[in-house]
Amino acid sequence: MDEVALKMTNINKSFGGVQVLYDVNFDVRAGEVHALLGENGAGKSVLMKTLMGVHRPDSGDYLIAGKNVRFNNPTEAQRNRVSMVYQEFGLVKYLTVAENIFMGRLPSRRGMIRWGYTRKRASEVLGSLGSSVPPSAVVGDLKVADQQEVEIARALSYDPVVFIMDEPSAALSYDEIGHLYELVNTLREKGVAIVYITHKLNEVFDIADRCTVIRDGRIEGTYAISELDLSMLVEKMTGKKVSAEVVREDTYKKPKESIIELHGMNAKEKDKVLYTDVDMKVGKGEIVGIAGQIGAGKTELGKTIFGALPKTFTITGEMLFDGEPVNMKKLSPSVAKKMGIGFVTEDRQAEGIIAEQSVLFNLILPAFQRVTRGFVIIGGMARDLVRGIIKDVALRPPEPGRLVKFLSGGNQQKVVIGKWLAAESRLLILDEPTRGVDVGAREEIYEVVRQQVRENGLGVILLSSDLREIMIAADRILVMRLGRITHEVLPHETSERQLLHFVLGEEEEAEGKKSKK
Amino acid sequence: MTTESVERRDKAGARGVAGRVFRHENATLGIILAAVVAAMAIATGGKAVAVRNMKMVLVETATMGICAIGQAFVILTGGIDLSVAGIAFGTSALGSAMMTTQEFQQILGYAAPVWQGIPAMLALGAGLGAISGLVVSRIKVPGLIATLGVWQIAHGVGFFITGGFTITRMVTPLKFFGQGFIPEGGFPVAGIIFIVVAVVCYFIWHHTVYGQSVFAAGGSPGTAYLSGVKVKNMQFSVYVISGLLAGLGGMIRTARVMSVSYSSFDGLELQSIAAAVIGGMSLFGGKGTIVGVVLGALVIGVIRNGMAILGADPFLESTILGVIVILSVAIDTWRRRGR
Amino acid sequence: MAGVIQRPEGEAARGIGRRVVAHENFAIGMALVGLVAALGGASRGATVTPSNIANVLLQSSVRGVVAVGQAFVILTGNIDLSVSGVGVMAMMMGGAMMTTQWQNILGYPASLALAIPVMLLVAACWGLLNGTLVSRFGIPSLIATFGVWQLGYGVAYYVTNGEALMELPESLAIPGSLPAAPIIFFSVAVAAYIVLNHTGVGRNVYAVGGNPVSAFLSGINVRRTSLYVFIISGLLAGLGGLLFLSRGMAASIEALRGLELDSIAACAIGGISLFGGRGNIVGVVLGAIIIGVLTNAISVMHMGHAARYIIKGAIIIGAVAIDIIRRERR
Repeated sequence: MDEVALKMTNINKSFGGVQVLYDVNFDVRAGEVHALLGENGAGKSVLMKTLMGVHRPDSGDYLIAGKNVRFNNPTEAQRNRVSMVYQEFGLVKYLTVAENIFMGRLPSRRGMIRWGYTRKRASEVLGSLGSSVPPSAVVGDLKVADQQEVEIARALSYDPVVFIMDEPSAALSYDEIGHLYELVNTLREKGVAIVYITHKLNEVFDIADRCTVIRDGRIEGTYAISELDLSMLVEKMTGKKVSAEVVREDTYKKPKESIIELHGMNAKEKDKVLYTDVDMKVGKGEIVGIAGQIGAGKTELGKTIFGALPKTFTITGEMLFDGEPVNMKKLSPSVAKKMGIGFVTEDRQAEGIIAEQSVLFNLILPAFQRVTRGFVIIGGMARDLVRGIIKDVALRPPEPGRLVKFLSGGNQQKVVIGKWLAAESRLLILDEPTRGVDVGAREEIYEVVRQQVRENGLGVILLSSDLREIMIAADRILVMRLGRITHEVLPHETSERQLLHFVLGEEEEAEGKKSKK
Repeated sequence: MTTESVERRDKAGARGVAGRVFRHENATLGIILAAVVAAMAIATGGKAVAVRNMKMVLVETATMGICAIGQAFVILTGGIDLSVAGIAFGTSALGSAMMTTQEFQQILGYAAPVWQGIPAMLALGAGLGAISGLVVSRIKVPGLIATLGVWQIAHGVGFFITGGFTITRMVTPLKFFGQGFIPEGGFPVAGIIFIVVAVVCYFIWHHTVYGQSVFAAGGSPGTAYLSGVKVKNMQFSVYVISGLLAGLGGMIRTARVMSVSYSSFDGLELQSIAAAVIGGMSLFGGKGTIVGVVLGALVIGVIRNGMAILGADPFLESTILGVIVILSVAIDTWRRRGR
Repeated sequence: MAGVIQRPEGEAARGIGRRVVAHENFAIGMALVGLVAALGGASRGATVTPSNIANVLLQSSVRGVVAVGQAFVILTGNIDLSVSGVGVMAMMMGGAMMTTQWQNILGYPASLALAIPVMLLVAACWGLLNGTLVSRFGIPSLIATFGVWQLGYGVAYYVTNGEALMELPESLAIPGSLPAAPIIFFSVAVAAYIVLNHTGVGRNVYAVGGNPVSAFLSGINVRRTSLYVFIISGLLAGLGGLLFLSRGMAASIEALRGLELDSIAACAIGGISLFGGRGNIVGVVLGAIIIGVLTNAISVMHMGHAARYIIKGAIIIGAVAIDIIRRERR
């Protein structure tokens, strides 16, 4: 059990002059789950990718079972029984499960692929995971969780002694994570050395034996789980002291007027129901948090209000904006924008920013009407507006001409929020607003929003699966589960723990998952 | 405006004008153009740089340059327009058949004046472009395929009108747009049209809501859509503009040569893509400048003109064009990787 | 789309009838049958005489082999605009070696045994050039092959001085005539089918086109795979040039104009996704024959150039649009 399967010493790595790993030391033993914990961008994935040969390290040594190795590409690593499940889904969606598992090394005889044998081997591998995914199914037709199983099966088909999982829970719902944990436990019992990359603290306690915290490319320390508690871990990870449990005081004032009201909203496509019977109100100057798991229907609800849900979905119900009924058939992002609704997407790279353009370009994009005469954009007006917004959102560096791709994640998010402030939104929908944002910038983002709420009576809908965020930022909390609003509470009446139980549905379920470990 | 002007303002400060010129994104291209002109001047013993000849270059380049600007609109959204040659032929066939005094070709039964003929050409160009625009923006057919199809359709329309014959003897006033000078013996009209189109499009790109929306739709369709930009309308409109400008380009060539045959515009789509690519348009969309495209068109125009003076055969010209295109994209790719 | 992908997985239990209907090439097969019937009716049987059918097969052979090569390239998510340039160049080079018109290359007319391998080799080398530009230098295939296309015409012109090629040895007429040409076409298609569905290289083509990152992480040499497909496309473009020259026994430099459009159209009609990773060779063969049937019918029925262009254009757009709409409905 104590045999060291992988040992990495003094790993250094830089990209184009920017150092991302500094003298990193890391080891993992056979039969242990070693969590590699850090904020986004801390260097977790890069570290493991240098081992796999995806990136080339500048210096450092890698020992596998006591032998010095250096892999030039993932294939070499896999042949030496080191394999990794990458964060981005790496499957070919048009091909079958079996072919995806054995891609690049399909068994063949005299140059001809042995399809029957391939399928048989694939079902063996899937069977050893306890997976029921059929080997001849086409990957594109599978659910996300099943695709992930295929990906794990592919990595396992190399019969690894070192097995790396990069944020495997990122796209999974809570139930599916339970299944993932079972799988990890099975592997641990088989004596595989498992590296479990995550930025979710609770997962460390759920699954890991040891935990290494990495911050800004440097190792903060390695700890046995038994010697850790949550607040300690948060401090190691962020480098800042934080109180473990958020406690809110009773400061809630019911707003006089509501900016938006939903009555009996439903959305579905054929048999697929996104959400049902949603009733809610958001007041002027109020932040309403909607807590729920991934897939609970939050994003879809937000997109409905913004008119961005694909037209293939059937929407029924009534929406009142500023007391006026809204024609849902004609609602589109451009109409919603004109009404005064802004939407901060969860997918910042694809839907939030235009990375190759300047801060100024991005900020005035939804706010042309404020900087134009006729159809002509007046440079001076644009610069004045943008200067004000940059100040409001505390953008760093405060340069309107800088390309957005050169900003940090947190500052990119400030640009996305800023553009809706520029558009003079009166209702702002924030979908997972601090995902991929470092802790320091998170607080700044909350403060920017709070200030607008206080001073300009902005109404905010905060959609989040991060319960801590909901506890910190919301004035009033709705819980959404399986497409329904199930609870309504005020922050001072509840706790993160209680919210978790609400979000998961039942207390027993939450307890049940813990006991599986 | 936006990116460009802001950056310039921020950076300029202490550094001199020379520094600004060199740092400008089109500086390389300007230098290349100067070098090409110099090379041609030497090779032709000065003939290439005679004022008379320079005017000729501008006139000859006008058609391709105008089409390249249309092409640049499409490339800016991440699409491509292979239909420009077809549309230029189709519209020219219509226009020449309307305006010819050759009796058997007349569509209207009389030789139409230019104020009827030219708008008809532009309308047909825009209409053919609208087919691509509709198919691309509504059904999401790749631009490559849609415009390939429209290229064929437009060519077919041209054949239908001309019956495959060469049309000549257009009404005299048409000459003005291809061969005229303002004032007499001064600046060529075709060149003026080219420059006016370039200036107008520059203004549209950088100083209007529409232009900035096209940039946004090309840079990130998802972001543009969620910022309230009507992405589909942008995609539709660029093909219409490209079709319209192809019609305008066709008109200028028809007026210059005063004859139209089915092979008059062969290779125009490729030349226009080449000019846009040499001019620094990113084929992935969202990046590029009108100035670059104009310079790109002039580089090609100067080379073609020089080769013609030297009496080189047309295939050597196409070979050189091929090499230049590959090189300019290779340099762009290499530079982007270097960063 | 499940067809080719699932077929190797076997579907023993289901009935043959249902398998045929569910097959991804069923629709296009029916389209071909319907088209032939409709044109046969419209032309009062003129298009369905045995001699005309033979003619269609003959004409489709050139387009067909080139389309098969194009399909390899499109399956990896690239495109090859250079096929007509490469085909013309190979044709002119080989032809110039064999002709008694002028012996400006070897000084004597070369035998078929020498000239044909040279043609194919040269064409493959130009494919290699395309592949190198795309896979090594990262130039978008649209641009790289467009440049090479121009170069191909340049070289062809250089070889022949722009004159038409004639006075070729009579034995050259064999490969491009009946029954050799259709046999060559179908052999190429069968070989391509086997390579794509039953060999590692073929599956790599699908993997690279479907998801290049995934392919790379699975140890597939993405660059080499892209290189291979361009070589295959170049080689088959050369073969197309050979068949064309052999059929007409004369050729001008304009001979293969439009071949890139026809080959892309055959792939698009045949259900090869232009985004890569999806489609099969059977569809491409049917697509090439559909274009052949149409082209032929237009000339047999004296509909003229205008109709040919307009119909072809409408069909390219229509085929892709239908494919996209159908996929969205699923």
